[in-house]
Amino acid sequence: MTLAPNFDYAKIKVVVIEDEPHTRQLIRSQLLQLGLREIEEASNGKDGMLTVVRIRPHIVFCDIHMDTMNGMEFLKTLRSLKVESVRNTPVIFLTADAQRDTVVLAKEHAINGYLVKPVFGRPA
Amino acid sequence: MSLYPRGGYGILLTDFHMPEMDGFQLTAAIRAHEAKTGDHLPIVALTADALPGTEKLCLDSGMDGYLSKPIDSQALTAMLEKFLPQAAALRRRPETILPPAEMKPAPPDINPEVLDLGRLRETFGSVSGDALSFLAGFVADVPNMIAAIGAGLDARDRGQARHAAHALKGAARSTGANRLGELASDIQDRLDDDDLETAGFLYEALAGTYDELRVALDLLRASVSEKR
Repeated sequence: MTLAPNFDYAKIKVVVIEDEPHTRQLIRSQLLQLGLREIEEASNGKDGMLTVVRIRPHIVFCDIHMDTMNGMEFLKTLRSLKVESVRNTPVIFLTADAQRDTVVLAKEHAINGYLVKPVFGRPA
Repeated sequence: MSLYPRGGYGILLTDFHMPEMDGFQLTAAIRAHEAKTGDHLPIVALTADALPGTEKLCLDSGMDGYLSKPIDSQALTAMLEKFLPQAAALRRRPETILPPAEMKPAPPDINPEVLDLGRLRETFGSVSGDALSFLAGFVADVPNMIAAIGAGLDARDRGQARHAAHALKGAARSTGANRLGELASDIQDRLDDDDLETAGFLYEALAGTYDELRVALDLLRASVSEKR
């Protein structure tokens, strides 16, 4: 599976925030399939924030329903963080929650993408 | 300042911010002394916070120039050639310092954001011996430097926390520990803005940055001992 052939996916830094370990592993495998190499994982929003601040990723894939800090709180915290280089990091929600209210709320907090699980590399 | 009266020095490289006597006070003391002797010791400031007004500040306070940290070897060479032309003959070329066997170390798999080996190579000539002991010493000291920031934050002592963050930023960047340096720099910026809350949050991320730096050091040590 290749997307843009001249694009160097290996240079993209990604953070995956997902509390369910099998799902997390699957997302990692899918990203590896796409040619991404620098993938860091976190199992809740809080650890996700710390990882984002540490590695300054190009993009974040994030679950919504998680303990400690859920995806929506993560997004809110990130967008209000007073560190310019981090605040506008693109975030894509990966969630089984397709309720209209959740989508609207995500949009209010400037989400960049919203994918409903299960997610496949190309249209199923 | 206690070394100065001995004389015989050709140039002074000084940090701006130091406890007891800072770079400006040191310069003022030396220039006051020179007003009597007619000498002029070239004084070059070293700073991690170079701003548009920094050069003027240095010149106005009697210094001859400044270098921003992390110090670029070429900039340092240019500065030495400008103020110490007589020393050129004394310089050893890096090529003559390095045993040829150490010239091309197989690069271990270390993310340059975590540890940029180029910086150590530039400073020490190669990533072995001196560079490794320096790096080990720095990494061993990082927990203390982090703790110093934490102590300042806990005491809500913005000045102390800022001072500690500034020290970590300078040392980390000079060593090539870029993520650590970046984070310390952000903490310093937030403290300058009196934003202890964000600084406190960023502080929590330092532990992970230290961990990955320690792993990088271990990898580096392993790759160096393999070659022996």
